[in-house]
Amino acid sequence: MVFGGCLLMIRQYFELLTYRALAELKRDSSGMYLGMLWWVLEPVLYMLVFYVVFGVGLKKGGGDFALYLLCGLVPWKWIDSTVRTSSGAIIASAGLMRQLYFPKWLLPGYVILANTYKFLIIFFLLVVFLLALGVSPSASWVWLPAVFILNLLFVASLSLVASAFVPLIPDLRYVVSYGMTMLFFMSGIFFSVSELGEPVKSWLLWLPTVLIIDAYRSVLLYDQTPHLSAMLHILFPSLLLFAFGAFCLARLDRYYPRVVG
Amino acid sequence: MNDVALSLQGVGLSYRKLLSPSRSAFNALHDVSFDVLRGETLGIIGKNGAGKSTLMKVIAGIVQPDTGRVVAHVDRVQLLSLQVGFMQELTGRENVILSSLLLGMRRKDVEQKMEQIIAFAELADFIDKPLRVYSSGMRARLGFAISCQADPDLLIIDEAFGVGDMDFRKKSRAVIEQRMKTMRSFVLVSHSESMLMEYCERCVWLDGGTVRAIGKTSDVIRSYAAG
Repeated sequence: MVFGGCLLMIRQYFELLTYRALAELKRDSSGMYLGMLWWVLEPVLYMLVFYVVFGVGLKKGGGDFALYLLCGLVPWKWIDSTVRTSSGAIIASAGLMRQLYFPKWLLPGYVILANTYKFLIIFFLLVVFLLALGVSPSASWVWLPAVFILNLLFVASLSLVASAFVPLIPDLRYVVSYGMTMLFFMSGIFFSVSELGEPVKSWLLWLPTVLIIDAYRSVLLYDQTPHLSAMLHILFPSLLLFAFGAFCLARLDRYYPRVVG
Repeated sequence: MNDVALSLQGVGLSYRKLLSPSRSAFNALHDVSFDVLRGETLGIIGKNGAGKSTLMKVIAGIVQPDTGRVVAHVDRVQLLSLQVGFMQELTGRENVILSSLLLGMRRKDVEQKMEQIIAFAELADFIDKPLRVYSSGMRARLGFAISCQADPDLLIIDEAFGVGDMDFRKKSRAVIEQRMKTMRSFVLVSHSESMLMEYCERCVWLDGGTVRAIGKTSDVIRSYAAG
């Protein structure tokens, strides 16, 4: 009886989560003349900027620098925009929270899901682009789902933690914002971490973002299976952070309406 | 069969900022206890700042009290909140689905009741247009039509429950009055003594976060008026 009730509730929240995530995407593109085209245009323009600055302007890297850059930027954009938006998700729903009860993990949940939909579309375009430029699919591509799931877990874990703490200490919003900017420069998106000197190189190789981006590149560009140790190195901290974030959101579930807004 | 729908037991709540340097706290509620019975409409009266809106949030399960317990013997307890989770960019129809899901309905039940909701809200021509082109009256009608379908076991109503123009106000009032005749419970929070006299047999007088009096509405209102 209790179990059946729980199951019903989970299905109910799942329906809400998926519907609201799609609504979020619709909101992004409504009122624009180009509508949904912006989901694609926005990241493409973003990547173009980096390509012009680092590829053409600074003449960095070899001929395949564009591909190298794109394989880093596409997953990075997913991580970055999800964590930033999630950090404000609970505050943004202050009004709704005071009208009725709902589990607060839904709020970062909408953001994570909506951004994952966007990522999948853009990732598909990236693959099309790679194929068009003559990269041939190899056996290593079967690892893509595993890399994707690890990346999703990492995105979700950071987003849950950010969304749980920012409402309590609003100043953290700046910390999250600067933290993400710092992470961008440390994650080897427009350079290769392995070319750096010691000890910086071994420090940066601890960052899950470095390992995630590296895994995408190994699989897509270098026909290599990702290192198991790197995968575990992403998995364990993400699982811990995820559990911590979920625990905090559950504990503070009926406390947020008192402090927010 | 339990006659009590929901019971508050020694509920206390104070607002204090987390990490705030001063330990000063504002006691919004202190040792509040009463029952809401099945099928009754319980009135709550009190001045501004007496803790009525905090009490409503505690009853609805939106916030958890610091002390005491809220024991619900029914499944769904909700505040009558109109236009819950509405998004300007979505169409009326999409907002019906979103809002109903938030109110705890299943997707397939919403789809089934969709035509009924649209008819009740009198929005047949506008339902597939985005919400931002709606007038405020249209939004209010749509909001009310949705919350009618949600039909919780205990509904908390803040002040007036008629919305929209004259005709729609009558219609919405009639729906709630109809519900009050069933085994569903209501908590009616109001400044209006005449409204409480009309709908409630029992009433709670909340003053400074505590229960000053509880009992027959006419008695409670008499002592409330006496101050």
